[in-house]
Amino acid sequence: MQTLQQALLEPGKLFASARLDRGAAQLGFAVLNTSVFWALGQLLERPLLMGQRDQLRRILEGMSGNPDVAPVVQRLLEAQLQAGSPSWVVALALLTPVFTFLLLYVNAALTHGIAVILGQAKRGFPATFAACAYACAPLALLAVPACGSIVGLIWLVALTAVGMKVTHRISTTGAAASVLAPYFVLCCLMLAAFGTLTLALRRAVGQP
Amino acid sequence: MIARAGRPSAHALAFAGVAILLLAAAAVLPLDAPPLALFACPFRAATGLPCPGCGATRAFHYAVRGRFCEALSFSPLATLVAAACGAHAVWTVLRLAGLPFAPRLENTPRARWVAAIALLANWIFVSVQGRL
Repeated sequence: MQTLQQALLEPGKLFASARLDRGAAQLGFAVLNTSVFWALGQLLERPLLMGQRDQLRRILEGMSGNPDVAPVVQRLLEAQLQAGSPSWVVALALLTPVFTFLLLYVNAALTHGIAVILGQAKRGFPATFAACAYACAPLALLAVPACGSIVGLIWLVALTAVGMKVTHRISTTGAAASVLAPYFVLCCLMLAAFGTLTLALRRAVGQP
Repeated sequence: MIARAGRPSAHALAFAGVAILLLAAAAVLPLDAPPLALFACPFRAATGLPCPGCGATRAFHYAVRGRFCEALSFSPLATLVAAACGAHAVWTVLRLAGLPFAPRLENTPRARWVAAIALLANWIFVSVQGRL
């Protein structure tokens, strides 16, 4: 909790004192933080947003049988309908630590690769990993239904840049470039589901 | 460059785990069904050009199945990454078994330029392939 509090409120201090030989502890922090608060968010979201979820489910069920909807959107809608079921929630809860581990290392590897190319990786991969791991602190907002995940992700990106600046002792520009370039590469993977669902919903209500 | 090294570090072990997970996912998940079938590139939708990561999923899919020519046609860089994932996983297991050597990547200006040019060349290749 102290690490979480420091990461959210005094990130510069946390990153400056981060030990580069504590990779396992940093990984544990990121995985635990993400898993616990995601599970909490799922528990809070079900009763708080039950009415809206049922309404959305009815809209999705209506759209999934519409022949004008593109096949890829049909598959997305079917996946969305399945994702709300209790068995999917339990499966995702069990797999969240694995996904967090995977995404953390892929993110750190991409960020470090870009930092190396830009000549900004002054202190090696452990420094980049420390920045990326502690930057997962804002994912505590996954516990906030609806908007928490979006705010948490934006905060995570900003905190990663702060972390890279402090752990590698580089400029703000270098840190920003190292952090933003990988998100550009991954943007199609992260935003595709949201983009297609938004388009489908707009078409369903008659907006272009 | 290959140099003498002790047991693999925690990060090396974790990367071996990540490599195995990525290759396993590429081997198991079909391209034409969720979740992989749900992904579409908004950069391509907006500009008509593929983003630097386009083709990586298909490259991994075909590389894992040994169809390297098809994998290379989608993304040469991603095919190289898939091969590197396999090599790293195998080498880490060997190091755990006692192999006292490990590759060492040199962080020199030449190496950085080669990496940057490789990224750019891959993007151009993927863009040209996408238009054909």
